[in-house]
Amino acid sequence: MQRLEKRCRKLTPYFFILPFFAAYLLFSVFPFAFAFFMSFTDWTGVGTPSFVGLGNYIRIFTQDAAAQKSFLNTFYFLVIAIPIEILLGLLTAMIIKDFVPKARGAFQLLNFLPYLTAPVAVGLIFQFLFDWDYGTVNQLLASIHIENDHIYWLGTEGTARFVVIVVIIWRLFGYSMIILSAGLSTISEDLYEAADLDGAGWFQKQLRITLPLLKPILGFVCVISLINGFQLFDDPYMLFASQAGQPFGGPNNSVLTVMMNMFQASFMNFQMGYGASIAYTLFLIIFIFSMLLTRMMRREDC
Amino acid sequence: MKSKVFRTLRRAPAYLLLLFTTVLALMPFYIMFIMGTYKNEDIFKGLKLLPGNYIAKNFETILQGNVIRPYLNSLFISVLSMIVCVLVSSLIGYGMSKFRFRGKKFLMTVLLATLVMPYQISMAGYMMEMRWFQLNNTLWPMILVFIANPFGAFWMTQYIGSAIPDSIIESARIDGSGELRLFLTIVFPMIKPATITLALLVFLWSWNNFLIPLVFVTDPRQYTLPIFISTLGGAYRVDYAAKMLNLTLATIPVLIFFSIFSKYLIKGMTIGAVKE
Amino acid sequence: MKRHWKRIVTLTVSAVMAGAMLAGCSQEAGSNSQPENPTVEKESDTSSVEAEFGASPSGEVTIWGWDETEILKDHLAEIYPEVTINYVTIAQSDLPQKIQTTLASGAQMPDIIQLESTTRGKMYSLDCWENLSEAPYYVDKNIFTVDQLPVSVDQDGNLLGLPMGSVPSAMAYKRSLTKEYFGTDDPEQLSKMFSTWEDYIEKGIEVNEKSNGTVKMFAGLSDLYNVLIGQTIIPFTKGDKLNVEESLTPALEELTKMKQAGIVDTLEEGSPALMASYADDVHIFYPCAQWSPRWVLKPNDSRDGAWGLMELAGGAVNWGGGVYSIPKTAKNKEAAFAVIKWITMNPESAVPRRDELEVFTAIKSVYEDPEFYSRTDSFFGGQDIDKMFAYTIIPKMDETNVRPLNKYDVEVKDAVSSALKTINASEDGNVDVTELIRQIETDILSRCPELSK
Repeated sequence: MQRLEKRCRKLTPYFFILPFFAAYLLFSVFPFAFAFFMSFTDWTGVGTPSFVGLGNYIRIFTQDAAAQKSFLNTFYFLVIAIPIEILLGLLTAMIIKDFVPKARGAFQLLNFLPYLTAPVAVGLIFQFLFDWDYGTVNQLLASIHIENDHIYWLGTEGTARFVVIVVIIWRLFGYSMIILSAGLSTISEDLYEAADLDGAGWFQKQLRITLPLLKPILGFVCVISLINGFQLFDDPYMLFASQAGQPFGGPNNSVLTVMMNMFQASFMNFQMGYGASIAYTLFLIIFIFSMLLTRMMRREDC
Repeated sequence: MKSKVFRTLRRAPAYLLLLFTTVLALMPFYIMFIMGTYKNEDIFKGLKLLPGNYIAKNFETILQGNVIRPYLNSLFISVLSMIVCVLVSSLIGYGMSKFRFRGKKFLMTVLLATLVMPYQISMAGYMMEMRWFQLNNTLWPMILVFIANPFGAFWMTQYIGSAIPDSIIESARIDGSGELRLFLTIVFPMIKPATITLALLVFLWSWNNFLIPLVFVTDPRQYTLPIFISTLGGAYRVDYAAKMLNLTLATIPVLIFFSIFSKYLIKGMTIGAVKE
Repeated sequence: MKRHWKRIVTLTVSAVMAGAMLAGCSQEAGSNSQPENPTVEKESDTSSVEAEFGASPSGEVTIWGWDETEILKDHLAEIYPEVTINYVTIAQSDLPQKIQTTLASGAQMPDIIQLESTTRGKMYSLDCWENLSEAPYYVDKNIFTVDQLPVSVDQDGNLLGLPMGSVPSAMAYKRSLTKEYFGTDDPEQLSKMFSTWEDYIEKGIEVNEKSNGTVKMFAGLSDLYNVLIGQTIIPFTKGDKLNVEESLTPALEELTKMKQAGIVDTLEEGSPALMASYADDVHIFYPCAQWSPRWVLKPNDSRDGAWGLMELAGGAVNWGGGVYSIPKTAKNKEAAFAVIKWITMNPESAVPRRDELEVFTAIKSVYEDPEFYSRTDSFFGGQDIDKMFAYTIIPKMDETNVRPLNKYDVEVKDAVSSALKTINASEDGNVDVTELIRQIETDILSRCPELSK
């Protein structure tokens, strides 16, 4: 009887993970594997593919100036926007919890609104805000009499990148905030009360209690945000795709991200094989990166 | 008295920061709403901060295109995706975080790997599969894609791992509880903040998803809301105002959902905290 | 239970098919499409418009389109009562993706697809369309107006789509402004005054001075580019070699000159700001296609009699327009052909299309009646603009001055829009056109590795 139970116990984890992995194999693994094989061909999505070996991958690094620029752009956005939005999300989560606990729901909702907004709307709204002649931002600048108020936000490389970064931070910080809020809730109030008795200030409490205990969830948010950052597509795409006649990756491909390039290759240029190779190159980069990161975090936990 | 004022002053930077982020977060959304209340051609004639009076007409435009069906489709898809994803993710989260078994590390790595994979790339293969299962032109492709969501699995694994102390599980086991019962009656209620958060996120992702329905749905009866919105205005003239109003309206269900659940979220959080 | 088994069988068969899937489009065409209509022996009758195929159509026909061909549903229902039309609206910008993903997954293509002009070159090169010049359709391309031929055929002269209508363009102007600055609002006189682009620049500088820089001749660069590029037929590519330097330099130089002269404003293509400018009184001229009054001008400007229409300097160009194509894997080709035949080849269709859709047809014979297209439009101060389009402008268009399709139209357009932004952003048009061309070449070569400089 005991042995049967033990065997049942041993098998139970498999039962728990089965639903996920069954669906996963079917709806994720197969398509990914398919794309993997596709990346070694020149398949256009129509007709017969022919094997080109590493040709696609080589093309990325030697011939495709746009692809190279896209890796650079993605890196820019990643390094600048993601840390800021995580920080903002963390601060907001902490402040809401401690300073306005009664209006918690309302504040969370308001700060989460950006993430709720459909990507199409985001693109249109920010095009409107940063429009050269009629945009709200330029009009505000004019009303406070700044000298160079007529800025062509979406028409020059540097400023276009700036706008994309603003959009990314605006849209994502609420997302980080929500997850971190759920994480903050796992920290027992008793710890804070004990610290209060010791006379600790708010900042000290966050530093000594919250952050260390939040590490796993914070680590999670970092990994997720980084991955989101690498995969950035919606914001720069929508900023320029919501209107006809706008260049796909912004002025001179300045906001073209790797995923945008992949999308363009696969779905607009009819080069699905090449697009798959771009995606897999990115995948490799992210994978290595996040493995390193998670290993770093695990080491710290010990 | 003095100390109260002093305390508020010291807290000022925090309040200011919160105000700053909230206003900035709100403003574009507010503008979206405003844009929906004007006639399309009027939107760009100057800075608009107050609502216009064209809202009824824009509403008419939306209704002309029979918006109810896409609304219901989107609702159906998002609710179903949400429920299934949360269930499956909780199951795997529990299994991965509270058990030791062979191949766990490997599976964990695989899971992480897919987290990293962008979904656009699986389009071609997924499309083929849907055709084999004859699910093209149904609502199922939009739902099935969310079942095995690596984010959900990863999120639940992390949360359950850190929020549920092993002691509770051990004592339940000692009491002779079956595994499934343990999960349903003890673990699941304890992870409410996580499940609700995940539910909201999945609902949101499903609700705003554009690429998948675009690819899979050709029958207007199966249109989801984002697709429907993109068809507003017709051939040569984009009706931004109507689109904006429609987008505002499209955000409402999510808003309502969130408002309702944030109450439970708070409850759940405080309950979780007290039980400690 | 039965359904369960059906699924398993389907799965096994599909697994086997998966291997065969790699054989691609042509193989699928073989297994999916109906057997070719046996009336192929009609070869001797190739000049006849009334081919046997499509004479008695029935069944369901699915159309993917973006315009309101749906309005014609009722007429079609009368003529072909056995046919049910299933019309699906898909935004112009989404159509190429939709086509591509459908083909890639082997999902069922519709029976008819409307292909719009900017992406048609690329769509044609996919090689997934029925050749309507050959069996069993035998459409004689010479029944269509000469201006639509170069944009309806592939590089071998085969009709891959039937043109929906002629889409000539002209220059619209605001009467009050032309009266103020040029002393007249009569289209003929203005036409003579502005017979070359240089004239626009010259007069534009005067307007600038008179109005202290507030009034501009043109609202934006992109519509002008569309016109300028349509006025030459130098191809974008010659075989495998990129030919943008030769083909694009004239247009880009002209635009730069205009920017330097300060006669073009900075409003961007399709932007709400541009749309709003139609109703203002600081922009004078707007390139205007035959369909623009109904879809662009009137929705954006509610005034009556404020506008006039004159011919373009440098020659008429096509702008926009669509063709109806039948995918190779369509299910109901016969009914599909019957439908598009009526819309594009039957002169009777021109009447409701003129009256209800306000568009032109592409059937040559219709234009033989000089009274057919006539509409005095109070929006244009009583001018009969349709008459001008149909009988003055269209006859001037032929194969020597109508730009044909190119497989790389999309890539060129995308690269150019980036260049236009650069010109737009520059102070006083301070751009080096050779540098722009270089950047355009780099962009296109990134996307199309099979090309070379």
